[in-house]
Amino acid sequence: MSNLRTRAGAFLIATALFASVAACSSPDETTSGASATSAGPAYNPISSSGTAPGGDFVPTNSEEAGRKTIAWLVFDGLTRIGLNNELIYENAASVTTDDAITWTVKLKPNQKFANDEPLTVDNYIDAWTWGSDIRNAQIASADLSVIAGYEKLHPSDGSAPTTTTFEGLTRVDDLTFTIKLSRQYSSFPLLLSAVPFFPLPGSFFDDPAAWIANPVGNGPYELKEPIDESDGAYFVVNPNYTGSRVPENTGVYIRFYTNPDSVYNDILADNLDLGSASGSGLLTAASDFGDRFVTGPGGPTQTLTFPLWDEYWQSDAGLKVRQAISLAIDREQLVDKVFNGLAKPAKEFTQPGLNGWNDNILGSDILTFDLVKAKALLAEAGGFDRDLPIYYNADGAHKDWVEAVANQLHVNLGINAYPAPITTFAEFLEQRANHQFAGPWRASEIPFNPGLDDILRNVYSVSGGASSGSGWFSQEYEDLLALGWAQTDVDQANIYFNKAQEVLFRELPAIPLYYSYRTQIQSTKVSNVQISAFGSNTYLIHKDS
Amino acid sequence: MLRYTLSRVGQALIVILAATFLLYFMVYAMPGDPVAALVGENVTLDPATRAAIEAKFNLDKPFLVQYGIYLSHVFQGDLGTTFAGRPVTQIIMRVFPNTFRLAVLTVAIQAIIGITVGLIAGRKKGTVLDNSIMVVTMVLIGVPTFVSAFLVQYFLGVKLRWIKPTVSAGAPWAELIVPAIVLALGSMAFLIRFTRSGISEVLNAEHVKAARARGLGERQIAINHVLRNALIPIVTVVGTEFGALLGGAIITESIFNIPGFGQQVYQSIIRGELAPTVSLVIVLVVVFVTVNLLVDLLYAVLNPKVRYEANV
Repeated sequence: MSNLRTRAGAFLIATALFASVAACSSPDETTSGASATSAGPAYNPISSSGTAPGGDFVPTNSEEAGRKTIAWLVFDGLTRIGLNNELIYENAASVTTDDAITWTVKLKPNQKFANDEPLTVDNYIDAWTWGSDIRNAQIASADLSVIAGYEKLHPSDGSAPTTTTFEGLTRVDDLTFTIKLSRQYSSFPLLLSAVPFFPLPGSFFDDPAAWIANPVGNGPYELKEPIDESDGAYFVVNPNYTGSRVPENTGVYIRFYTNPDSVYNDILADNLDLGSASGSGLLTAASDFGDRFVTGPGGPTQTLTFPLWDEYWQSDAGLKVRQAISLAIDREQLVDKVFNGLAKPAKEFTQPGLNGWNDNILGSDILTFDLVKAKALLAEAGGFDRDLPIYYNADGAHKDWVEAVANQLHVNLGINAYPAPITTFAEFLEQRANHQFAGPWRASEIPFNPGLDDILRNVYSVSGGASSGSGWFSQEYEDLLALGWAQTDVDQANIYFNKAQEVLFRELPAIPLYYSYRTQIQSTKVSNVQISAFGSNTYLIHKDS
Repeated sequence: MLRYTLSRVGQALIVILAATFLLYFMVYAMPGDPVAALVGENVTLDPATRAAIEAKFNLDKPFLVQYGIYLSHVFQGDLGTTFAGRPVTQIIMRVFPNTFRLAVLTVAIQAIIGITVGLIAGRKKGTVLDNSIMVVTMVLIGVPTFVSAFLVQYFLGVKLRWIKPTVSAGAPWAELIVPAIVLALGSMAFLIRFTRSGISEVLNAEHVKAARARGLGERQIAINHVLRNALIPIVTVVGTEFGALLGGAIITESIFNIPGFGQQVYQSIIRGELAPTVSLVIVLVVVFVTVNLLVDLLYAVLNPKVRYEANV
């Protein structure tokens, strides 16, 4: 008994000792919270859920939502895509070309960064050069690869670059520069709105590490204090900003969350202003929030992509089975039952809201539920007695719809389709890259810039890396895209891009299933919420100070 | 005593070192590609960029070399940086106080309610009150934390608005009380049962009968003679619970959005960040080992028998 007592006593003392040590070492705990309120009564930022940046924040290093959100707040680019997917000139006064290869950019005069540095073409040229240089290992630099000379700064064979200048960029004067592309590209003004094309101030190049710790840009907001990865980021309105995105609020507070249900409950209780509904929240958002629940296009387009590296799927029978599978999926039922109407059946391979979107492309009737035709095609293909695992990553919200699709195929066609979960997305990608998949997998496609050609190029064309990973290639498809890019008129270009989609429908390397809609829920404290497909308008909403 | 101290400290260091190796290996062997996780979905990285990133984070080197680099940095006081370039030491300084406050509150709530209720139940064993308490503890043990956390958040935070649904930045003490209650519920129920059986056992012990025979009041007997003896194993349990809470409150931290230690570890694992994951978990190991070491040493101070045996 006395042993126990002394041991317990010792434990208490040890714990207390440790506790006092830990308590002493704790830094000022309420840094962000306190300073947010002590900054003066006027500062009443819009609070929004977000995710912590997954890596160094530099525009050319920003691929995921966490960093892109910051980028859109503190930066402005040459162009921007508006709420109706129209092209707006921001830093640029004009972007012109005669041949879709050499483009001349003129900047608006008297623009400044938040630190009062004047904005000149050097800020663009230097940012793109630094971002493309392989020695800086920027993950989003591929968007810049369309500019001539990228290969010299970023040799694809992994060798060291032989230069520190960007061949395709020529400075004319403080406000004018020319960009020579490595190929014709009619959508270039649209691409210029993308995050990796943002400028960087001189202070970045003086000390990149210091700048990354406390980024300064030329956007509608500036950081109030360095980002706190474990809490969030505070932004105030940038007084030097002269662009078109004028905030109707005093600032923004991006709070980092890991649990979507907590975001939902916080907004419901007016403890947070903005966020997106997901998971179970989607089922209740309409009734909980009423007209404070907003949806809009811009979510990923979901497809089933097939392993065309497999001989069977290359064969004529394989094509017929893919067609049968596409016809046997009742997309209307899928979006109603699984997504509660918050997704729309896919009509083609890109997504609505993009400039030039067309829902009536030749061959797109393969996406309309038709069981008679499906069974006939399956019979023509000589049946299908293989297994049809449908792969998905279990760390994303895909289980329900993959199960629904597998079930539809099982019931409608009598084939052995079943869901095949892979634990994490990283593992999923690894297995896909190693060609370990014995059946189709789910793939979601998001356009990074608002041209129709973006998905068509990045996902299906070898010229864009063919990220679908299916191994599909069609020269006709590549040629049609190239023809589109050679145009100097975007409408004309879109005609060719949609012709390229006809090839996709004929050969069906992937089966489009549905367009997911982006959702936004908001507190009662904000108004005038706008959903723009590319996120540039989100935080300009109204909030009284 | 010196020899005993040195040998115990030596053992602790070996445990910590072995733990770094094991952990590093386990995280290294974790399936999945950290670069893919870093870059995100829908992005195909060209091989040159991938190679440059792998080189930057030493992912291209063999396991033992990576481990060696990691260890040499640790000995220089550098616990590594996250993919976002933030030093792990800075993160620990930031999240540890939050978790620490949560753990202190949780343990306090557990101890106060658990022991009081357990004492009552133990003394009234077999009565309606005791039976009701037992039923309630059964329910508490049966309800998983994520259910109780979510229910509390929804009803207290959203419906009644008595609390904020999530804890504000900086995790102030007052806002941590509700999450701490949620976190305490399950173990509190165990503690009630533990105390109850301890009490009822001691109640029948000879010295209690003797005290009663001496004509002492029931209250005095309960506090001085029963509780004091029953408390010893209980306090040990509460102590270990405290250590477990430092790293094991992931669900509660996530639901109440408390930037704590558990969440940080979880995030690092999800991102496949090798050095930060290992460093964070190692901090927990060090906490455990240190507390245990201090216990053992103080134990020797307090109990000469141990000191004597150790010297023999």
